[in-house]
Amino acid sequence: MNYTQTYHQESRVKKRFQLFSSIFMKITGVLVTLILALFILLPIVVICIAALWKHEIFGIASEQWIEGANKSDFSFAYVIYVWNTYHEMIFFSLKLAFFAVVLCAILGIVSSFAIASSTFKGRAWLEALILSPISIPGIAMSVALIQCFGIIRGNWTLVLMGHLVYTFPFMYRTLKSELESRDIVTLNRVAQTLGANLWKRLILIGIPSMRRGLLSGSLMVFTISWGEFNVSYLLNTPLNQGFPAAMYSAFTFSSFRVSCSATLLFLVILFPALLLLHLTNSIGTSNDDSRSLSKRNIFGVQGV
Amino acid sequence: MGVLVLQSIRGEHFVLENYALIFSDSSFRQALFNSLGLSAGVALLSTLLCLMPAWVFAKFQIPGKAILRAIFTIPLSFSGVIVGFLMIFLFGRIGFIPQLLEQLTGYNHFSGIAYQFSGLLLAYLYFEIPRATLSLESAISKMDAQLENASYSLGASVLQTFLWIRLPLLFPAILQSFAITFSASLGSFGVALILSKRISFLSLELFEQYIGFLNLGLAAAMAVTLVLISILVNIITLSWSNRLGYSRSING
Repeated sequence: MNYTQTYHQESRVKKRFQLFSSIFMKITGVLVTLILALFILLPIVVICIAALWKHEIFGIASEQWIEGANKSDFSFAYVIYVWNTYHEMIFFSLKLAFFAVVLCAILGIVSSFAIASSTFKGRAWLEALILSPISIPGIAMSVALIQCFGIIRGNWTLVLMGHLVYTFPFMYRTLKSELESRDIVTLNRVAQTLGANLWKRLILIGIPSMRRGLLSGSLMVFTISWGEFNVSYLLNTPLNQGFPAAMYSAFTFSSFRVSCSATLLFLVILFPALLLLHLTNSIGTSNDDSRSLSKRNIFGVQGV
Repeated sequence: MGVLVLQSIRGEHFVLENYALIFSDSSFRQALFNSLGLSAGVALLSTLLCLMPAWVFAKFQIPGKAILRAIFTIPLSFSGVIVGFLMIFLFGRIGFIPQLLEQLTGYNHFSGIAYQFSGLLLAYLYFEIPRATLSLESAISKMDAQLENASYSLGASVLQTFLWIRLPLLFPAILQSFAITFSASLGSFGVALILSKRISFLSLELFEQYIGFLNLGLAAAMAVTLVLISILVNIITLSWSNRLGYSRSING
């Protein structure tokens, strides 16, 4: 009797301790997460405010003179100045991103369907080759591209090629995980026995089953291509640069407020795409749970 | 593509001249060591720090989790240059945080650390947090909760379960996240381009040799060195984690 009582008491103490420490761990985890989120968010918010507000509140007194800037606290003058100065580069970057998305989508549909639906030997090697740009440093890749296709340097197709090499793995991985979650091999075989040719199979089975992956993959390619600096800075000629390079020149040669405004413009174009990306993914996860695991990997940071 | 890089490796006098230069010239060697040290430090730090958020995202149901996750993925589409500028704005000589602290305490703490090693570390951390978090999260969410429950029901404490169940299960994922963040920070030169004033890095030297001096052979040699290092790290961590997985499957 005595023994069991102490045993129960002990186990109760132990259980309470366990509960306490698990709650403690949970709180610590959430706290660390919040701190890191703040660390990510703080500079972005501060820069957005700094682009629009007068700068004395940050203790920075000197400011570059800009036409149309007045003494009022809140003005869009600097954003407008940045737009006027760099809008060609913004359009150039948008054009690059657009073509990267379109070409990635076309190539991704064909190649992911071909690889996912068939079972030939050397698939793993081919896949590793396609995914290798993720783990190769971008600067090394762009040097290699220039060495290889240096003749067409100055032509924007070279930059586009760099963007394609860099962004294609993300698109490919998204589409492939979407296809694999639907047992595409069997579907393909069934269609084959029913007499559908390759073209028909691609249009009637492949594209419908990777519809959502296509959307999130395209958005991802857009966001990556829009922010990409390492590859495009080296591949472009100095006169023909994209917007990230323009931001680099703003950071090095212009005042704080102009740089902040350039960053604000960059974020204004980036955020809708990011938001849409998260919306499509959260729809995907809430609809059915079986696909949510594969959807989680869409950012493709799993390594090769 | 790779073949051409290899072709341009040939030196003027002997074959591996450019590689010899990287390792014999003290400034290049220092740059290489700086790159390796910083990348390893950042990879270690970001992997360890991001275990917590990854755990929270994978296992807990907290309000606003979707928004938090979205915030964590923002830096993925920033290039290094932007991260560098953000860090200058926060921690530069007249950055936001020093100014804020001067208002509060009367002395500008952390002024100008953006240009020092700690600032570089912070900037690269900013860069690597999403990568580490997402790769760890997908590993944690695939983990079997039954093993944990079994260890609890056998009377193990939270610490014991963490040390002997969760950590070994997660070790391959930790290694992988280390490899990803290591190779990503090895290759990114945007941050260093903006921030680094005295400390040199191999990717920065590459950029200078390529753009400034048009020394293509040396630049190509550096590029190949970077690629080889990152491939080597990937292979080592992959084989290590594979071996771990194999031994566990024999034991279990």
